[in-house]
Amino acid sequence: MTRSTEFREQLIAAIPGLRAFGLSLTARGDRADDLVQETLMKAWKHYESFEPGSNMKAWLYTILRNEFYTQLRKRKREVEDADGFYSSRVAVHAEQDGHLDMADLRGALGLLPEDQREAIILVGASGFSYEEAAEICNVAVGTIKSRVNRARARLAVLMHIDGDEKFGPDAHSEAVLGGSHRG
Amino acid sequence: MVEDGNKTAKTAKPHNKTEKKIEKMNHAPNQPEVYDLIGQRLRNFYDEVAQQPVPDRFVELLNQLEAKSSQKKPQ
Repeated sequence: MTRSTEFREQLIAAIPGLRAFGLSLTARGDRADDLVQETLMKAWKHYESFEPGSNMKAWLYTILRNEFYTQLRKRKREVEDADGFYSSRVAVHAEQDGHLDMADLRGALGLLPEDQREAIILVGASGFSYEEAAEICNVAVGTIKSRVNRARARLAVLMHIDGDEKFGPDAHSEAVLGGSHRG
Repeated sequence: MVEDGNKTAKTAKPHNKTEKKIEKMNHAPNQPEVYDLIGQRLRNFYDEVAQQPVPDRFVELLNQLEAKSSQKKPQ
């Protein structure tokens, strides 16, 4: 059985989304595109394991994600974000008195733990359902939901759109915490 | 796998106050306006890349893979 034209077309159609997902994982454009390259090659090689009519998008994202973590383990905790894709807007602020002043989503995303970041990208940006995201990440649906909720909460606070006026500290805790300014 | 820890040295250690706000947020009632806003920004972030045209290198890769495949298989 040969790879159909349709298979190739579906691969091409998925590339932009895969690049975006890869970028959100690696924080580096060159690495993201290398990941996509690896993914395409693996998809091509293992096309027979793909069931026509099933969710190709999820299949490809799973391949890319697995490849990302495989490479990460190989690199043995090499520091990601060496180019400062995520940290450049944040590093300066982090040196201040703990007040993170970030309207910038990219900066805030970079401060998420990896599992929360991939969850919120898959569900909130790539258009997957919780069930699909759970499949891709190989965890329970409940785990994905929990990670997405935590990611949202963290993003909301970091981006100062958490409606802090409603939940802001009272005068007492302001004093205790050193009264750092917000906003 | 550590759920909450930041793995990279470059990311800032969350300040106590921030962590408290996040916990409050986690237990706060649903705020659709906030989450809608986040969703919008996430999609903008994602679309920035996803709307770029497919780089040549990938089309060329697929052409090469296809050429190899048709060479191997007896026609």
